[in-house]
Amino acid sequence: MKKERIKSIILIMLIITNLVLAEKILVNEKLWLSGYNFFVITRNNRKKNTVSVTESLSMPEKIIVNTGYQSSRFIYTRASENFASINGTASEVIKSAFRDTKSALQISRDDWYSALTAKSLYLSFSCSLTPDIYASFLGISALEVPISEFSDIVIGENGNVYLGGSNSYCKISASSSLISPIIQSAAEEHSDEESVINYSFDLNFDKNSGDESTVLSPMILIYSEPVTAFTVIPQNPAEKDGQVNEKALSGVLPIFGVNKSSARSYTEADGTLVYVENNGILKISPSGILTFTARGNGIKLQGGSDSSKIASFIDSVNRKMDIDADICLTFASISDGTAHFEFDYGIEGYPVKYKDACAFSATVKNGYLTEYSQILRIFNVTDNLGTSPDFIQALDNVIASYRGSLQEMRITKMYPAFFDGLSNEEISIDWNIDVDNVLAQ
Amino acid sequence: MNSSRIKTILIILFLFTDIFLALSILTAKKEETSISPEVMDAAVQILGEHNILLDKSVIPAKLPRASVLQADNVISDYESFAKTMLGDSFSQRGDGTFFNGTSELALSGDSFHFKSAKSSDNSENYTLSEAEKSVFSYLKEFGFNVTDAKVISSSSEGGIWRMKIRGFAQGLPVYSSELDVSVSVGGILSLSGSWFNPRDSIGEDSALKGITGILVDFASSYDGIKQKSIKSIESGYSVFDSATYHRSASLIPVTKIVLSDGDEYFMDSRSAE
Repeated sequence: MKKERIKSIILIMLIITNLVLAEKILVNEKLWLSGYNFFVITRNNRKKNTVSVTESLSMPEKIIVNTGYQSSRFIYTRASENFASINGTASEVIKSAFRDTKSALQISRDDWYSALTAKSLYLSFSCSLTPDIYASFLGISALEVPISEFSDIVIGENGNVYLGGSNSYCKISASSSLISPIIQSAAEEHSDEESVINYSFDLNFDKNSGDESTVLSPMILIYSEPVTAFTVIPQNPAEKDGQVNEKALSGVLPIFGVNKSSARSYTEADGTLVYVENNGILKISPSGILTFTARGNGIKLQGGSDSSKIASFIDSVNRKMDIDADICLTFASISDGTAHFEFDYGIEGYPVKYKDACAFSATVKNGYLTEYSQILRIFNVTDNLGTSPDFIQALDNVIASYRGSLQEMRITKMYPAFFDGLSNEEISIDWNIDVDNVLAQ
Repeated sequence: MNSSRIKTILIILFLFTDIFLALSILTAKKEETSISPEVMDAAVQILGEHNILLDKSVIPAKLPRASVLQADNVISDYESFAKTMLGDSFSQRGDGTFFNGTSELALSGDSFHFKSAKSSDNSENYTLSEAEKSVFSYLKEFGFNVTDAKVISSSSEGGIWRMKIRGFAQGLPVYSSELDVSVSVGGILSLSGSWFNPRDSIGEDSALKGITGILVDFASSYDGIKQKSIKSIESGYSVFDSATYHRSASLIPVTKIVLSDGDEYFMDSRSAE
């Protein structure tokens, strides 16, 4: 009996030793060819549910449902409950229209305005897109349309699709019955409210008249009421006690090809953490600004088109940093094998702006990421309701600040936005105003 | 078949499996550190083609295992370091040099040069042991972690000891932690160099790049015309790019190659995997 017990103990010990030695071989990456270790790969690839940049590439920043009356236009931001379903339907109508663009023809600005102010859906994008880039977002073949860039799409109640650029417009004749129910539904949903949203051209704010030396771009929305939104507290996930939190970054370093245990790293005088690897230099500042600059080719990206490569990459970084925010495209350019994209964060349907910088910037050349920058941010929405200044008041303030230095002032963009000064303080909704300087003559 | 016999069979089976697994792990580790003669001969030939002669006797018999370490510059920032070395009352010149009434401190990148203008109080009876004790005590007081530091060379003239002190980490020399100091019985006369205080190592040591790979890398990067021979090969740690200031930095495993004319080359020895 005693002998049996000893045998059992020896057997158990041998089994445990076997498991430990096997674990050393199976889990230790260094004893396997790089990338071959199944267990290591599965350990490193846990997925999280976050907003996908890939899905949001083709999304407009906002959709305005025009019921045909100036007093009943309804804005749906990305945070609105019905935004996804309206956008989904709009995308189907657009894709259907884009299948046959032979009927596409250039139209006048007045025709564009007519389409916009009739019963329609207006999709407003944050940046100008070429037809090819937009087609790649939708996963369809390149478009042949008589317009080189557009930032606005209008879908008429009957399914006609209109593309609007800064000074050129085109119409693609199509037919669809999907838009009418959306317009009707919006009207019913908001039947007890009056939403007065004018476009700048509605009120002739886009025209120089008499002594008035300030003009607004025609598509700027004129809000009759201040905008309300919950205040937000931005947080730098890569910072702890004023220093870069290396532990928080450990998950994101491998995405940039940095092996933390063997990478050359150092801290600069201002506290910026720098990792130097063969494929590039990664820097993270204490204020949460992450930059990657390639040495040689850069980081080889997986995926289809350049836009989906970049979107997937951003999704990976955000997953590792637990960043769960809407990401909105603000600039896109593809030329000679080089693609450059810029994005903003979006909170509660409004963009978050930074001084002289965008939240994300990425350049891909021949399938390799050569440059990348991101302002690492987590946004905590509070229960406090904030109100923006009155639209006209905000406009007057900007005009007053420029008066004297400019003879004519053109407001190219004006929209509600949050401003993050990188100080982790509570921020309230405000107005973003872009001015095109026209110098005194 | 009764359970006793089954247990015996399983014990024998697992024993053989454990022996096999243990041998596999040990063999793999041994292969990481040993050098094949054929490969070495090829490396010697490649060096020869680049005007470098190598006597195989200078090649280390065994390659150390080491990992990248993190270290903090003893210079946390220039002004704080100046305050540490010169006291509260100091001024700064236009060229960036700090000074007080009796001493001067110049800083550049990770390096510093401290000079005391006070007259040296020399004594011919001042021993090396006393000098070492005085220097280490002084360095400790000013934030230098000298726990593993050693004096690697020293000389004396007229009661003044001149010594080179080097830091060590995980048993290997840290080439970026080297100080040239001159000291007399009156105190430190000059102190120059750079110093990094290593943090506690948290990772496992791993195999470094093979010596042949390092020698081939050196051959490709060497651009000398005159034929020279390799005098010594040594493993250690270094911070790269010391001309730029680093508040903290990685100590990278390197191989120091010294040529017959005294030129030193530091080759990154981290494994590519």
